[in-house]
Amino acid sequence: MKYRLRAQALDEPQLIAYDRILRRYGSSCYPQAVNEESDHWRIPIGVYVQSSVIDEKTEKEKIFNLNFQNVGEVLVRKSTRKIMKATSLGTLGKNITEKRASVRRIVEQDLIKILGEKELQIRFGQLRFAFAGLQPIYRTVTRLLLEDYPTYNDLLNIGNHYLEQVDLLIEIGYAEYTDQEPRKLVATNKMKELYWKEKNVDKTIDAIFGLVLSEYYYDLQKGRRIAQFIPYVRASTAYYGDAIQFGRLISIKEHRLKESIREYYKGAPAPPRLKYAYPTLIRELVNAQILEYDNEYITGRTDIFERLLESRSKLPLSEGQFSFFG
Amino acid sequence: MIALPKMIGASGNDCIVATVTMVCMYWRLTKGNLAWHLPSDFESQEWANLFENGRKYVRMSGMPFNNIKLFLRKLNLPLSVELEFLEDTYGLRNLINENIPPIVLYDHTYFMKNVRGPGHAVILVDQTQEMLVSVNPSLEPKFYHKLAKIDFEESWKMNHNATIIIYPKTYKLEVTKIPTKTLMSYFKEEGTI
Repeated sequence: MKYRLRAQALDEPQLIAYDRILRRYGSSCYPQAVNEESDHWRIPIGVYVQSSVIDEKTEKEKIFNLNFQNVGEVLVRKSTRKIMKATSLGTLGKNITEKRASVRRIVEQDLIKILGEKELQIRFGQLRFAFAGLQPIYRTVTRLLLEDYPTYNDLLNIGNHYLEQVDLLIEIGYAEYTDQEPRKLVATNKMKELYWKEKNVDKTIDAIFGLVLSEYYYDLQKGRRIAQFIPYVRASTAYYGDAIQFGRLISIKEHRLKESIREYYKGAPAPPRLKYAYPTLIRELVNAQILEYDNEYITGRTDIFERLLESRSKLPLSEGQFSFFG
Repeated sequence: MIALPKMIGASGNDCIVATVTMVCMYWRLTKGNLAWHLPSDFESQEWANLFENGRKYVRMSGMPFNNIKLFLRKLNLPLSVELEFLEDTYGLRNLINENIPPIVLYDHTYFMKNVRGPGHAVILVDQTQEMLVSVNPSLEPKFYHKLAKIDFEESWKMNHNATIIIYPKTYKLEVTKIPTKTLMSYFKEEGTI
């Protein structure tokens, strides 16, 4: 049997590029505006990446499209109207992963800054695993608040890793060395004021941890290889990242949060001990007042969410075509 | 109306795999005399595997057409597949009339909200004067979705009228390529008509 069909000839750069896109990349990609160059047309490629967020308590799912531009390009030769050069599917995939990572970074950076705000009174001391990595800060602050001032040589004898963390306290202006020999580390007025306000050693340490974390999280992680905070930050970012996409606090179960973390940090290097028991990790985040329990569900704090909501406008987000309502 | 033997639900980039599987099932049912090595029972594990295997060809950017070709070739089905940018909806009408269910790629977000979004694959199974009837895998369990022709044409145009045609190897498809710019369109641009 013979069938006849009329189809458009590939004679326009946009159509030639789109043909290439559908054949090699997929229908989530699209050609952007055509740029005319000497002997060819350059057509950058954009992509819509779907992301779904579920509120398990209300059984509501929302699908969003993240619109990433310039994830690849197609060059079409003017004389022959044939493809001259095009991004490979592998490179396109890598570029999409990078763009997703940039979205993740926006939320993560904003969340870390917010968690460092003293008014939120986050109990960082409850994050036991992370706490282990920042023992030098904990011990030093406790000693300074008890007016036990160590000398520079005392600290140096403990080790460089110890001294490096003490330097962070100096950088944020909460400790300093005296000028006279032997040089001693003393608390600054800033630390004394904070202690006077908090009236509690643990709360003062929590506030200082918050400041160190919000200022030096990436430095601690990359420069000083203190990675114990990473699982906590990832879990919090995955939860609040989904919540700001959804537009309100969501209630999810533990396994869903675990999936969200995996989905949100797809392609990111795995932190050490990622398998650190999830129920413990979540309980500690709740104890630290970063997340909350809502019966059998996990939810977030309204004040953190409201502060973070501004980040939503920075995301290349549009609500997708399908929203299912249970 | 083209009656598909089984509906398959899918969301996200899996819509193409679902539509391709449904059309393969349709041809298995209607062209049973061809050399099929898949059973006629669409509830069987083989068909479930076909859909699941197809999903492996889906990438973050969607399912490339070349992967659909590769997927069907590996399965050794007696079907051919083509990607064409049809001239207009008359082409779709002719395919439906010939009982060849076309898979159209159109911008569903634009269709619904006039906002650009990713290409979405549906199967057209029927038409009226003003409507096209589609089987939309994302609308499980309802599946059937009537598309107003005028709005559909606009959102299909966003994807350059892209259409995937799966047909038995015993058929012959002759495609006449029409220049995207005709003499009339030049006159229209100049404002002489």
